[in-house]
Amino acid sequence: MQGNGYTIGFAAAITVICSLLLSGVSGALKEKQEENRVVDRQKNILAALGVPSPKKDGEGTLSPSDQLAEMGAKEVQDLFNQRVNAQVIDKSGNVVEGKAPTDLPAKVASGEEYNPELGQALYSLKSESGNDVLAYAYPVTGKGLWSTLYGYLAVKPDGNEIVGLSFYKHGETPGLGANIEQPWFRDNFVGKELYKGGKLVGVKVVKGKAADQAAPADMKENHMVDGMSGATITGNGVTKMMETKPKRYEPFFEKVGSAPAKAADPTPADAPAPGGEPAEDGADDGDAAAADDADIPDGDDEAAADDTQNPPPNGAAPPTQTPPAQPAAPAGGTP
Amino acid sequence: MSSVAKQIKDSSWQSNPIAYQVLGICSALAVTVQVENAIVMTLAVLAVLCGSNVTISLIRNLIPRKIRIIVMLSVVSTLVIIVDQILQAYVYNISKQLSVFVGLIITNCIILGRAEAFAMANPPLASFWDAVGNALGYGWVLIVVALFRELLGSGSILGAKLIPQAAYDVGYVDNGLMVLAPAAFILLGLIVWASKALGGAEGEE
Amino acid sequence: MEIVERLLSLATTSIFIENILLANFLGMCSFLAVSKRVDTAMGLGIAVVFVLGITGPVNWLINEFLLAPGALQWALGDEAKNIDLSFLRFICFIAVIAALVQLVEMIIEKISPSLYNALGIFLPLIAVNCAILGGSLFIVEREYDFAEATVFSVSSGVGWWLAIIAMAAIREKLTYSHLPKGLEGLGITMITTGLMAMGFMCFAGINLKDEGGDEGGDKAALVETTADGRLAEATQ
Repeated sequence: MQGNGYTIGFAAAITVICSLLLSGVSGALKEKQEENRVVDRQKNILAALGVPSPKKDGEGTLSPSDQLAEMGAKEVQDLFNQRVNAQVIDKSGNVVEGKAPTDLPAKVASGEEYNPELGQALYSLKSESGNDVLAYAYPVTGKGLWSTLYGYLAVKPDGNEIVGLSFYKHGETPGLGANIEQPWFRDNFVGKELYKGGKLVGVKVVKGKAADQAAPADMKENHMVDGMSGATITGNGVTKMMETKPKRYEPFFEKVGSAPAKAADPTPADAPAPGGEPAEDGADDGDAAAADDADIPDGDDEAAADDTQNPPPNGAAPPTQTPPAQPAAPAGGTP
Repeated sequence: MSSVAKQIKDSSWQSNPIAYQVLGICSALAVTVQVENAIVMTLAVLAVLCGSNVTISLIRNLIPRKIRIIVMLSVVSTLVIIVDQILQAYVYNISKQLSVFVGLIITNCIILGRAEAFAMANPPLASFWDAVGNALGYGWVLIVVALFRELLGSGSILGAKLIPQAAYDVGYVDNGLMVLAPAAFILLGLIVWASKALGGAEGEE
Repeated sequence: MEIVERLLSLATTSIFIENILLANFLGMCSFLAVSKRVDTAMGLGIAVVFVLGITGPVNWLINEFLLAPGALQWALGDEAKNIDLSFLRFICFIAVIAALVQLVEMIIEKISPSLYNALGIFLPLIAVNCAILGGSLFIVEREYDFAEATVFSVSSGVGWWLAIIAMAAIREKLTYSHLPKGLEGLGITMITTGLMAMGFMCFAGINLKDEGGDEGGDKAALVETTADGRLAEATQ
């Protein structure tokens, strides 16, 4: 049996060797991991924005996330830099020139904390030609059963109709709450609307099927999605998120000229009387429904409603909204 | 070579860790919702187990007995961290799904069990084959459970749909229970039963 | 109040709905090995609550003030902003657990020999119980604050304790039943655990809180469909 000195010496040697090994490995792989994280965020932003557009192949339709999953890191970054403009907007909705979401503290960039002084992240999707903005994505967070859900919500330039939703980080139960990141759940949100009669109502994740709920038909069609069995609390977290977080971006969408909240203010919440009509033609034919809705509160703000009808509001938008692709911050993701 | 093959067969079938040693079950089940995760988990355990068995076996005559457990733990955790870092760097999506369960390999009883029971007393090469056998034994149970859970729970294997759409049209429904925890326990119980009935080793006690 | 509610619902969730053993499969080894008799199960259960309740918060502190990215700022000032030691998390946590178990063992031995006699033999077993390490890792993964971390650790331990006592009681009865040869022992234990897990899932129906206050949402429109409860969001 060896003495204490040997024991201590051995322990020290093991510690030194292990720590050297670990810091070596960690240092060598750090860059790669960081890149993975950034690319993962970018993938999620793109998936929320519905890019690349669904494509047919031999067996069926490849969704944006399917296609993104096939892409290498380089391709994703190129696509992101080419199509997405990562910006920061201030509390009154103006784009802060020369500032990218990567400049914000992580918690602000992910939307977990809101700091009016620092601004918040916004990603705009440019059309192929680069002149028009097709959609905007912004970070959203919510509380799930176990953890904070981090994701991106993408909306049409009217700030109302949802283009897509994606989640990149959460600690929910695999097979239950973790299904929020599955395409079958996320795709339910596409074409739903955040505002009803000018008020932010969000989109509710119901228990069971949205179609079976006891609610007015237009609520069911525009503001509810099917729930995930066994994950009610996670669903409630998403509901809560959808009915609170878009509030932060209202000033911006007002600036863009088509804020649903502002446009409808003069009409009482229950007034879209001529409404009911979106119920018939269904929420699925996205553009039409959105235009309809924007038309109703037409009352004061014609310009706004008009804009929504031909989504890219290139003319009406203040020039700051679509800045000529600032040397696209290489990393769209949050740090 | 045949003795190596026999050793592997022994440890992966005859005295299978899951079926007969009640070891390593902890982290095994949570990652069995999808076959892909189960395979990655098996590879991770294989890497850690081989690494730890060989390392411990190499330094077995140097380790002071008093602190051998903590030495083993540090060797194992170091290896697990390396594996985790590699997963994060090269298969980011899977490492996101495995989340904390990679870390839990540290407390996987197979690893410490084999280090203590085999590697402390045997030369590196034998320890290496012992590790391979045990990891494979752990792996096949894990993958079989995952096969059932993914096939019955999601209708697919490795992400490829196996149940034809026609079956769904007629009214077939994926078994939601399979995705949940209870199914893993029950499947594991049935596998233990089956492997006992097929005549693995005698008894467990 | 909101905090209390959140903590309460976290406790209920981790004891019943998502029991650390039955839903996350943590701590199975000792669960299977020590669930043959109720009194030993009781001893191990208490020891787990004890150790988990201590290591959870301690590991939270370690992570928060030593390991997390930028965590060393309090000691080293601004230039430590970019230091990220989170890759050392596993090894630190396991070391803390092993050390604490040892410490707890010594303290109990000095203070209460009778408690030591009851728990003593289980304490070393616990160091490699994955529920303990798993609990600490979940705390980091789910980004709990200190209060949540403490509540989560203690109630996860309680959930584990509950599960092992129930299992031991069932197994004591099982010795009298006639089972197919191959199913005896491990096989039937696993299947029973599965059925128990299913039973525990029924607790998912528990609702701690009615519809809370909200900010900005038009509740009137949704009121008909929001019968189910919802966790209050702490921020905003």
